[in-house]
Amino acid sequence: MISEDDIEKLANLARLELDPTLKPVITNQVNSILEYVQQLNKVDTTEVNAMSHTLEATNVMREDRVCPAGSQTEPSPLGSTEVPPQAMLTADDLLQNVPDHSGRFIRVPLIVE
Amino acid sequence: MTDIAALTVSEMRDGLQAKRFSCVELTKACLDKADSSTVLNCFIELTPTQALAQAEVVDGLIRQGKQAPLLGIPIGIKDVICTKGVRTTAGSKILEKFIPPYDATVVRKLITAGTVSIGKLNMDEFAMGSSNENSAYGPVRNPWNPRYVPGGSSGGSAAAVAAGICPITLGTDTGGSIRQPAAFCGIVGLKPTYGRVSRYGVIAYASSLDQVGAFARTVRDCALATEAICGADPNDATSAQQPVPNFEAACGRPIKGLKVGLPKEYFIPGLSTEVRASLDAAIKVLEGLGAIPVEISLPHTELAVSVYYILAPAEASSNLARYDGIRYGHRASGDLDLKTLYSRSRSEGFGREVQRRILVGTYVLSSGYYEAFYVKAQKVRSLLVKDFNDALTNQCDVILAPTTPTPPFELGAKVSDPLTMYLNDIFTIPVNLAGLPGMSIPCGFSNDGLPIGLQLIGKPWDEASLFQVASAYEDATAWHTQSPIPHK
Repeated sequence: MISEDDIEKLANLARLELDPTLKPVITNQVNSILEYVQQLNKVDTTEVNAMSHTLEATNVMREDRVCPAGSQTEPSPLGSTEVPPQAMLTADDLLQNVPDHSGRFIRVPLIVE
Repeated sequence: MTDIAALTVSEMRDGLQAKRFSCVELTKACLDKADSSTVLNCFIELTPTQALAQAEVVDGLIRQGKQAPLLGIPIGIKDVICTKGVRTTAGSKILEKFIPPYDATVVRKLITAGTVSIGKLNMDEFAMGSSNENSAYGPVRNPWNPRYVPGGSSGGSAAAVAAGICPITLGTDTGGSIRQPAAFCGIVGLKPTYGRVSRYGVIAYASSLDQVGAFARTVRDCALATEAICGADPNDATSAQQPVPNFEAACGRPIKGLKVGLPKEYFIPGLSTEVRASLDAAIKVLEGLGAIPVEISLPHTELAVSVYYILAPAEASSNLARYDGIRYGHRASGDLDLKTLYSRSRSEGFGREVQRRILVGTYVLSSGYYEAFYVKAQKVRSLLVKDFNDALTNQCDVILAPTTPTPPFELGAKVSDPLTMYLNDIFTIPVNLAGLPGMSIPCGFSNDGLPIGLQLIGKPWDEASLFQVASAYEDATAWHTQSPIPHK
């Protein structure tokens, strides 16, 4: 069983601010999930390997190459399966979604006191 | 007058080629149908300007005599898939203003194939949910009865196809999010083999399980859409170098002698009698077509929900760490220190289910619990994979099972109890854990007139056998020809 204090610690680790009035409910719900998953303890897995992925993934090596930014070809309806390759995005493309920026710099709160 | 929005892909293609209607007219018909179906809340955003511009280009190509399987076909895209210049929210408030600067690979493939997207489809926030009640943009309603849920997380994608708004939509499936809403809405939905479809530009939930797939009202339409999105992508290291077969050609192949595995752990007393009866009847139909039912066992099935609700939240807590209010997404206002800025932006932006899963994920990955929960779940995942391997290697060609334990439930019925909601995914989750292709097709209706789905599960990379069996069943039955009464 985890307590409301434990939930507060987890929220802190996960950078969440929990509504104090909801804390008892969330604690109960997380506890019921964690209790349910305890059923795995009845399975003997001493000889079993842990699996993180179903694919036999291997490293893919290729030469480094320069991809000019902003030269992305737009796909057009060719009615075919030949899809033009993606190109690099420019800084301006990426800055469009930044909530607060000054020129090409992202504005953040003071980090070093 | 014919409702051209509700035609199948091949009927639309014939109409376009025979100049009975233009792509602009077809696209307008689909947009109008969406407008008159707002009670269902399928779309987070319709994109008429882009759609009609695209349709004009397509009309030019058709005039030049261009032909292609999906040329001019209107589609909808789940809002977890990035579309350049078109807001993409993942059903979350935290991405309320996010406009992707690029298209997901699947979107580029579908544009190139000649389809026309009419908008972005509603979904459970970050694809977490089984009822579409977790969307920051309101719940989607089931076209067969708006008091009922359409399933989730791709609820908008399934409801739009079932309501005849467009013939094809894209969804994603991490624990059943294509198959379960397909079942609840009485349509076809396929989750391809893990690695079959590029995830580049698809907002991540649980990266080792997420896969993009298509919804359609017929098996053949689903085959065309699936073929268009499959294939290796240099931008996604987990997309596999596997040849993509002609799925449409697999449709209609005889199934005589094909072995259909019936896992006894899926035909349990907890299964609703209506679902059970529909499945029994479907097995008889397939038997009549020459398929051979074989009883199989997948002994670790009952552990799948536990494995999933450790691994998926763990991966989600890591994937969702990027939403910090700095580079994109919602940022809390006020003069805040850095840590408060992070936590307040996240708490204002994420809904309750997302926060719950982040907390569970953080717990199972934290030191002291990592081995007991996370690694344990990874080991049991291996056992689940082995169950499927044994059955599909030695005993059967495909597996047949219910998609869900019950027909659709009413809105609000399960929202207060997350665990009950999670157990609804008991038959779909194992397929994601094993990375296998899984499909849901309509196989009947409950006494209340709500759809029931049948699930087919195949060997890795063998979607073709699913299309083969599903089309044989569809050709022998008429469930796919039924459609809900429009709800205005």
